[in-house]
Amino acid sequence: MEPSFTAPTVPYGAADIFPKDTESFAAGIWSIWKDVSGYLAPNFSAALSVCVSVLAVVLLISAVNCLEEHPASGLIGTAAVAVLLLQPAGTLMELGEATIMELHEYCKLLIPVMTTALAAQGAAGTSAALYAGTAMLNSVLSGLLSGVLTSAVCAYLAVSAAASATGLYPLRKTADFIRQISQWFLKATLYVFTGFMGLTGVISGSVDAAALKVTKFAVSGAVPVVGGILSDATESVLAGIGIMKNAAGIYGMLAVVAIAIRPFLRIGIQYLLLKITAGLAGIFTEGGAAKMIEAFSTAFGWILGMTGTVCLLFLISIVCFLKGVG
Amino acid sequence: MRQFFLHLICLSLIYSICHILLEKNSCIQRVLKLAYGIAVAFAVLSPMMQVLPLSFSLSEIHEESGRIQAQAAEIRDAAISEGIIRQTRAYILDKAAGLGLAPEVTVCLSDDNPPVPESILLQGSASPGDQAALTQILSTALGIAKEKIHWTQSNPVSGTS
Repeated sequence: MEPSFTAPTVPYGAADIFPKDTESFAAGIWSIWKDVSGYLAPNFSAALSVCVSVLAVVLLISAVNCLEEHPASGLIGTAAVAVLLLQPAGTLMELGEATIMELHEYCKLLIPVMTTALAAQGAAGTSAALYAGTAMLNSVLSGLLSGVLTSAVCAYLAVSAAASATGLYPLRKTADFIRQISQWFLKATLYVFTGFMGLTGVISGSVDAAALKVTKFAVSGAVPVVGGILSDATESVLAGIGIMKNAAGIYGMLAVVAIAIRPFLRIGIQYLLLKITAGLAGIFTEGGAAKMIEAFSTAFGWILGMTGTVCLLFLISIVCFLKGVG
Repeated sequence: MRQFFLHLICLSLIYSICHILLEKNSCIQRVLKLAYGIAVAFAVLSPMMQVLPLSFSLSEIHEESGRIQAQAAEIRDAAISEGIIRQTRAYILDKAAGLGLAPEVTVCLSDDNPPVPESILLQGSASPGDQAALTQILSTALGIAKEKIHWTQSNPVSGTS
């Protein structure tokens, strides 16, 4: 019986944009992009309407302040912006969290398949090291990103709201501290994981490649006819496993992209438009409203960064498995 | 960690409310600012004294990795053994055809790694001379002792020797 290594089926939510032909990664990505491009316009309209209403509030407060500056205008502006942006922020946070969990669940099924295929190819050391790195990453992501960092986003928004409303310096510094710690953690995870996977692939891959060469020469040198049979059988099995592993890896990469692309675009569109809105609001006022818009755009950028980082890390790990030996 | 951020939010909100209610630049307000800073520092540092509640166990990952390695080795070895048997059969049938024979071939592999053909069972009609010739060819080519190459005559009625 021929060995079989097949990637888990793409989740139902991403099945409609998943390409029918998964032989080529580039063609698959192009197919996904064509299917998703029709998704951009409605999301752009929804994000634009939110930003227009926020900008309208800022303009109104600036107009009122022109007539008579009120001491509570900062508080009112902060509260109005927070009310308008709270619901989109909550929706996008849930979307980001759900996307990360879906990627985590899919890769929990995919990575053992890739590990088994790579180990069956003879790269025992490489597959064990890559599996350990990816399994630890998966656990860290599910344990921390989905719970702690989303709580950090909530904490940042809450403390930023208090800082924007009151103008207190210690609150502003607390909000900056939360942001910096969380961003530092994301960057550290990305650098450590990428470095580990890259170095593991180079070091273990070279060791496994040398071991495979020694085995091949020992086998082919045994008895002429038998050696030839052993060598041919081994090579054809390893080549077949390699083809199946590559097919599973490409399918897995396309599945990861299909799962993440729509949420990523939705959060990205909202983030970019809100960033523009924060810039425009800063022209009209320096008060609490402008600072609150800036805080929300930072939070959206944060969620975008988390989702993009997780997707990128899983793609890197699949590429490391595909690269395999040598 | 979620509790840590909730504590931070509560501290910040309480501080901001008290700061608004108190007289500006009063002694109490300055004391409150100092107390807030100490409380935030404590809230930040105290979780670092505990082990991070990460949900993975290195021993579990190691066990799972070992299980995957063993499964992969089984799959690979089974596929290679099957390939060796298939190619050895093809070789034997090719040599037998050269002598005008068409036996049924069963190849048994050794327990070595990689496995090599250890014994052969040939089933079919052949004269003693042809049997000896084929046995000699296979013994020389495949390195199998003649005693481990067995011939059985097929029974035309029952199909067994």
